[in-house]
Amino acid sequence: MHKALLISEIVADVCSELVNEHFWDHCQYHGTLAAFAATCRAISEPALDALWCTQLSLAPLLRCMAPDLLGEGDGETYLVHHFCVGSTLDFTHLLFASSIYAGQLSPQTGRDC
Amino acid sequence: MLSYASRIKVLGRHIYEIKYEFTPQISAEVFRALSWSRPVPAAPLCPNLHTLDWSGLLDGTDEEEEIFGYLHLFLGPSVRHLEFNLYNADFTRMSIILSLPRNYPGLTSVEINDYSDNDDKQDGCGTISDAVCQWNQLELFSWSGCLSHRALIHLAGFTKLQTMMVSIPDVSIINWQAHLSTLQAPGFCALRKAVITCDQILSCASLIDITSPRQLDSFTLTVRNPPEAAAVWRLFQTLGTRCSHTTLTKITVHNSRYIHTQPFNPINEEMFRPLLAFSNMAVVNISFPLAFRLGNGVLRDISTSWPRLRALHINTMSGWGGQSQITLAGLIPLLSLPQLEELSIVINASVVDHTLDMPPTGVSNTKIRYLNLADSVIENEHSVAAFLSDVLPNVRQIRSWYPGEAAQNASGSFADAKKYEARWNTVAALIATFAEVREQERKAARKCE
Repeated sequence: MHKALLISEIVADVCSELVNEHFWDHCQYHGTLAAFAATCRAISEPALDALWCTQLSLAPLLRCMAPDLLGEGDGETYLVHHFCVGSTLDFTHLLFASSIYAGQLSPQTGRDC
Repeated sequence: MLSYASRIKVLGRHIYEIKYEFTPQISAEVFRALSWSRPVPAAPLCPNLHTLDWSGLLDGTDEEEEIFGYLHLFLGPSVRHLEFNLYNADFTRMSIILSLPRNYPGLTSVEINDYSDNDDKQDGCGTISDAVCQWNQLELFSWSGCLSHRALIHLAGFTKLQTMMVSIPDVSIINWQAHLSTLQAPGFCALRKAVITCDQILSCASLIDITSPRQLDSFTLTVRNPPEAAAVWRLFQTLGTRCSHTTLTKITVHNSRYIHTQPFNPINEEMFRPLLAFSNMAVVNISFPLAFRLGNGVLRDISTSWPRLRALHINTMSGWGGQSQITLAGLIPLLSLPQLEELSIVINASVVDHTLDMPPTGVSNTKIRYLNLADSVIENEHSVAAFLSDVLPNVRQIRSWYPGEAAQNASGSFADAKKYEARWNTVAALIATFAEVREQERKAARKCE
């Protein structure tokens, strides 16, 4: 990898160009940034920052929870999960008590988008 | 999850083209669960969030009332910009809104979307106005409901307020002067963009008269009641007196009615001239149910006073009441402005005062492709097209005599309006042909050389 790409400001500029170029096509620039973030550790942080910087919905964040919290039925994807009152830093670990029928995610929004 | 949440800086920004296709609905249960499970109860879910478009985030949900209570999940010390809906707000939501300035004093930009009609808004006006009076650091405030006098004066006192989109109260009430005394001069000292709605145009003129918006770059005024010409003149004079002549570059003033209320009392050149003081004027858009009597002299002055003019639209929806004194030749200085790309005015083209046997104008505006000429009269479409193909060779569409009120205001018949409209359509078609012929001739001449 070229040394210039070890400079975080340059990588951040590249990421912001990717966002600006495909601003009206979120899936495209999200996919490109996700691929860019996976190339190496040096690029991962600024690319993930750019990827997550603007979110139209909470759905992408909710999809970061444990995969077994998602279920499907009647053409919809349901999030069935368990919560306890604040115990750890990660919501995926907050599993206990009664299940809560918590939300609906539309089927066309894949978890990778 | 929290490691990703900390990267989010903008949440819920509403982009219409994307929103409906990709955004799933999140139920109130999800918000409730997130609220219960926060590791640190007072900590925001997204600690680095600076822009929260709550109305965009909840767009389409039928549980908005219940979810609104979870706004605090996202608000924290880093949030600067907040946008939310007020439509159909219940007592609980209004209480939460009223507590926002106390709990989140760091908010600098607040946009409130309100789609209710004026009667429904009355209930919320007091609450929002009270909330405004508690904020002290706002740089942007937007709300279509009517602010109280006290809230308006409080806004005027902000030293960092740059953008304001508000509806202002009537300033003729008796206690207005008492509120004025609380204003620490100069009012609106940092205001750059003002979008104001009011019932009477004089309310806005009076407000500007007691403040000093010297940084004002863009001024937009919507007047609910049709104004008189004298009141419009007063507004133009006040702008000329109170605003910086080099800073104000965009002005839009309009009323939504089309039927002229005072056909024998037009806006004349003297009333228009205060606006010529603004030397960097770029966009002028004026639309009132009033006749306009402007002539070639004003266009000549515009061409010297507004060298950076990009767009000029004067009363092209309701027309000028048949009182335009601008001729074809009068357009020449205006069209010499290098940045002019939009033009909507009324001309009297019944007399062609610049014919083909005269020396070339030397003026050719290639940026304008569309003209709106409202109630412009025309007799000979061929000679008019010959002139316009020289000075406006790229015009391909001319709109005129629309809507029907333009004919009514000009005291013309509907048949006359259709006749003139057809002639202008012919002119638009001829300009394209004539311009091509001119270009062909130029090429031939260059070859001969």
